[in-house]
Amino acid sequence: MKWYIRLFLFCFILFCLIQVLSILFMPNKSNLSQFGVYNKTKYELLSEENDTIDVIFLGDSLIYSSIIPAYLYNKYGFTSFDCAEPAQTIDNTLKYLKIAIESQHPKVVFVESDVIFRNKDNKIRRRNYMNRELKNYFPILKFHNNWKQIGQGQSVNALKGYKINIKTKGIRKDVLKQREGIKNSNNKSNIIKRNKKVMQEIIDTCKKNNIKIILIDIINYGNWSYERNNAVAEFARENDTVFLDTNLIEYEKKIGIDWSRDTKDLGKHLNLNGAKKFSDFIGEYISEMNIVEDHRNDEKYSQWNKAYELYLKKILK
Amino acid sequence: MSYFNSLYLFLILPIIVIIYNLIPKGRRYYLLFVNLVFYFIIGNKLIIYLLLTILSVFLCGKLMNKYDNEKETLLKKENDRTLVNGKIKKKRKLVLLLCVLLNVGFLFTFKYLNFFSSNINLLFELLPINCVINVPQILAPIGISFYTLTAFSYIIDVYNNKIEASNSFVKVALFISFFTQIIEGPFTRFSETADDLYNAKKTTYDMFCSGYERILYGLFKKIVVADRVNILVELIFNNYTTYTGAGVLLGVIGYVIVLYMDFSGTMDVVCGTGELFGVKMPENFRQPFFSKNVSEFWTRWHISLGSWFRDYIYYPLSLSKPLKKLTVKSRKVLGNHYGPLISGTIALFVVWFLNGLWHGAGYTFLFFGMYHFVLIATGNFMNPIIIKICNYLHINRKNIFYRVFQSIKLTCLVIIGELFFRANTLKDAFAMFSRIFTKFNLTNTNFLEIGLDVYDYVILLLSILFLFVIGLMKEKGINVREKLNSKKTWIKWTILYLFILIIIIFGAYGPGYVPVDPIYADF
Repeated sequence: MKWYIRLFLFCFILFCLIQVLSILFMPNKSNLSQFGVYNKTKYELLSEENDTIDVIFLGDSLIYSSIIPAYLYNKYGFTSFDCAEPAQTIDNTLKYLKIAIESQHPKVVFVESDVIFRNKDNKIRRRNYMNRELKNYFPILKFHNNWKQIGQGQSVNALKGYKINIKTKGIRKDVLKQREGIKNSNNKSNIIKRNKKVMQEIIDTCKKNNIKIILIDIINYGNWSYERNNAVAEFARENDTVFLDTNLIEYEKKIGIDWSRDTKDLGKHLNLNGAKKFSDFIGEYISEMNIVEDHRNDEKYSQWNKAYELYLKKILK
Repeated sequence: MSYFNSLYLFLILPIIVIIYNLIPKGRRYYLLFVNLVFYFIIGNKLIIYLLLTILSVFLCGKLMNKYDNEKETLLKKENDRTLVNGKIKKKRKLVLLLCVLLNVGFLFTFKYLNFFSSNINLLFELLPINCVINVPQILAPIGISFYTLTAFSYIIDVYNNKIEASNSFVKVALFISFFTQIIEGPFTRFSETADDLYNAKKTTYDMFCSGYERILYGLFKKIVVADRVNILVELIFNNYTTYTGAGVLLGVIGYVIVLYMDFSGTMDVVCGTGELFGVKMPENFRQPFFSKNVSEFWTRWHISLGSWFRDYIYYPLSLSKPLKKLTVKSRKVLGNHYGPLISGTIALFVVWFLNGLWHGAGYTFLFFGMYHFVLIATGNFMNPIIIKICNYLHINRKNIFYRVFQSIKLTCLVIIGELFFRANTLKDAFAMFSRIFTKFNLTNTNFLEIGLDVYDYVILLLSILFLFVIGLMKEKGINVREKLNSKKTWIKWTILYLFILIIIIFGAYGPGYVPVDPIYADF
């Protein structure tokens, strides 16, 4: 046999093996035929039982670094999911929302407001794009760790879209002083017309489906300014929508973020410590809205207890 | 940039190899182009410093060659051979000095300027002198410590007439900038790889298979072992005060595993990649934990760095006139064993001081260097005494139990050294060290609360056992890859599929894991 045919054959068999394993390792295989392998890997929410998610968080890395659904469930009783991806564009936010509400009827949807400023083609999105796509085509790369759940019945997605990061790379004290010195401004950043239109469609979709929508800017360092805040706040007012900017100093204090300990990359994203603090803040905020139920004693939601246990095993106590 | 990026290993690299083989002529130029593009992608504008280094050693080599060629003409003019030789040597020395100074200048500016200036500022503060040196934080060209030392080896070998200066810029550039070794080494010698790179042989099926088998082996070490243990290491080193001494000890042992698996795994990938292009890279690791003592350890761990320091620092220093004189004098006073050790120890001190500094501009690294200097120097001095004690107690030093004892002792010493190497500060290192002894408290340590669960520990134990067996086979001279490749195709493929699937399933990647940053890329 010629060497290149041999090589091709080797790769083909390997490809088949990986595909078979991918199916075996997928969480909640009952939904498989409905949505197909590709979608379930990219849109993890599709692995959840229908009509079981109360709150959906849409957006970029700030979402999946800051909100821990399993932790929220255990502490506040409602179910949620981080439907986020690195540098999510507003078009993908809309797409994910539409896919999500096919199988879920959430009470609240949070949309990270950064997506409104993002161009369709940006550097962060291009970074690691191929690696991300690889995981979509070979789901085993995403769900390989499910081997730990073999023999424990149906496998459960423990993190519900959250991405654990235990690294700490805090901000030096002298840099922190600069943040406190940011002056309030009445200027507004520019929001691309097209993005405004898509955001309006997101808001309309939610309203049509009787879902409360909240624009949220998740606490971070360096990517926030009063100009951005002003622009989103005005847009929210015009569209009769709530805008929650957790970067404002009043919220920063309430959340209790310690920038020397609670960030993994000099303030761009929170680490596990920070995510717990932020989840506490958002948990209380949602609970006070009185529109979500406590499912902790509901048999239908028993897999969430398992998810929490698995989450505890995954995190570093 | 990590060599372990799956996209790089399984898409970009094969494409590079395929194009390399499709080119009928001038593959060397393509390889040089790949090297430069690779470096430009990771280093951007800083590629200019790499090019300057290449250009400087190439031109200086040529200049030395030119002076050598002038010799005959000069001899015709002046009949005094000694005088002519002296003149030529002087000129060559000046060229070498200029070349070394220029490149040491780059290295110092990028790697050490901040360290030294902050220390001078500290001194000013203590004295007190009202003066502050402000040095901006400069981004160093990636791999500068590696390619500079590689370039030095070329120009020093030319100076010492060990090799002839190359007339081909492409050859020198290929040698210094080979993309697979530029980030983390190994340090190669011109005589080892330059011809292979320049000849740019076509890849055969066997070369391709063998290269990728080696890459997979490195991937296993990195993804299944190093990245898994790294969770625990990150956690303990950054929050050691919250752990018992037993926890801290586990973290330190974990770090040694991470360092070894990450670095030796990288070397497997590097050597495997080299094989794809028909380049035989020198081995950088040879089962270091089977060593008898620290001295031997350093001939098995980061071998190319050790041999670089030996050939270009230790030997020239030991053979320098002042140290030779000292040896003669001390031999008369201290005898044949201890006499030469005095000058050897001085040279050793310089080697380990520079070795520490090479690893990084920080006190933890300097301490690491000095620690190993003390261990090796003490070993040299104590060796005759230990032999006498063993003979007196009738201990057979070749006995398996004695060998195991030696390996355990060595591992303990290495672990202590790596604690100082990894700790965030020297103060932390001492605090962690003392915690191991003062707050050991094994009963209060829950090893399942330090980032790893039972499954992770099982995978780790099995993986380390597997790697130990492979190491043992290598130690006994068995070539595992050769054995594998001699099997029937279906057996070989089954083993390879199993190995690949094990890496995919049991690899420590994705949420909850902290991949090891390329540790040696920072040096």
